[in-house]
Amino acid sequence: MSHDRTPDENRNGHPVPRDADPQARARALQSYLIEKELLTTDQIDEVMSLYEDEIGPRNGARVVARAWTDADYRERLLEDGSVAIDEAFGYTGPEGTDIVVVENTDDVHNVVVCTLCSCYPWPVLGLPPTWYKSPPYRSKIVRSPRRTLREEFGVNIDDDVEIRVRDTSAEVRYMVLPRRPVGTDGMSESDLAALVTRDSMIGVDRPGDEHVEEL
Amino acid sequence: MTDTTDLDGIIADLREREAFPERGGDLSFDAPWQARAFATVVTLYRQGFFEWNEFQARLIEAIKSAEQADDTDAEEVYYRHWLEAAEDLLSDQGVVVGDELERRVREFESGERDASEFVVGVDHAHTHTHSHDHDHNH
Repeated sequence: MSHDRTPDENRNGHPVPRDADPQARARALQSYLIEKELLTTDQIDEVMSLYEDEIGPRNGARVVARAWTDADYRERLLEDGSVAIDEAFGYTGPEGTDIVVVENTDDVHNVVVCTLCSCYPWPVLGLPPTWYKSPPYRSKIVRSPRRTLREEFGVNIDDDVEIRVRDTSAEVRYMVLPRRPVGTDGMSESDLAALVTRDSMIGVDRPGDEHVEEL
Repeated sequence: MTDTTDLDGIIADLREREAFPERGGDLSFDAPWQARAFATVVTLYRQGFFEWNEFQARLIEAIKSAEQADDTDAEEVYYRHWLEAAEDLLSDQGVVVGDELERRVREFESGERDASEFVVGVDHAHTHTHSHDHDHNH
């Protein structure tokens, strides 16, 4: 074999060397756990189909639409996001504890980042997009949020609107409650939900500045 | 080998759906092994092997110790960290013992083991989702 190394030379205390082929590592991990009868393929497939079909930004959109149409719900949501989301919709699971919902207003724009890694409220938004996890976004949005929103996302935030960068941490997951677009009076909750984008719940989009006809 | 999974097929579907990220689950995997790593770890959590924040802490460590200001292959780099975090955590828990896992990684790398452990063969590709009955040997 071409991988003649003393056991700890490359491992540095890790059970598997970091430079090993990741495809082999992923296959080895899964097959190891299955052969030891610690996990089953059915359990793993179930997770995939959950994240494929049920857990994604449509969930968050429903929460936002409810908050737009029900003032009491909006209040509960801003008070304790995780509880209000779980109670009304049953969205919970990993990355779902301690979801804090922050509200965009005429004067304040919130944008979410995780500078440590990639913390993100999975139950309401699904898995984070690639750019959210990338080092450039994680540093730029903190250093110069207004410019990053303009240059990377094409979102112009007026100078008199305060931008709050919410750094998600190991303890807290943020979700933005965007403003309701103008011209949506009388729309049903489900029609409203269809207007809510994933990006607006991360805060890299600000549809509340637009009239519904422009969206 | 009787254990098979149709993850690779699922990923093909997912990547097609990425054209409509707002509709689907918006999974941004670049390769099947990333989905495999993701699903394995989430399944371990669901089965109670660890608390989510225990895994999170390992992931942060892995990212910290390797960060580069470069976003080429962001998904690959990210899920490498994800694997490292899982391997380290399972090793500390004694679920993975000694060099068992490393040996297995080498066997996959060298081709001694291959993906036929997972990928359903062409001859029965259409039977894998809902008709397991005749696959089971008792």
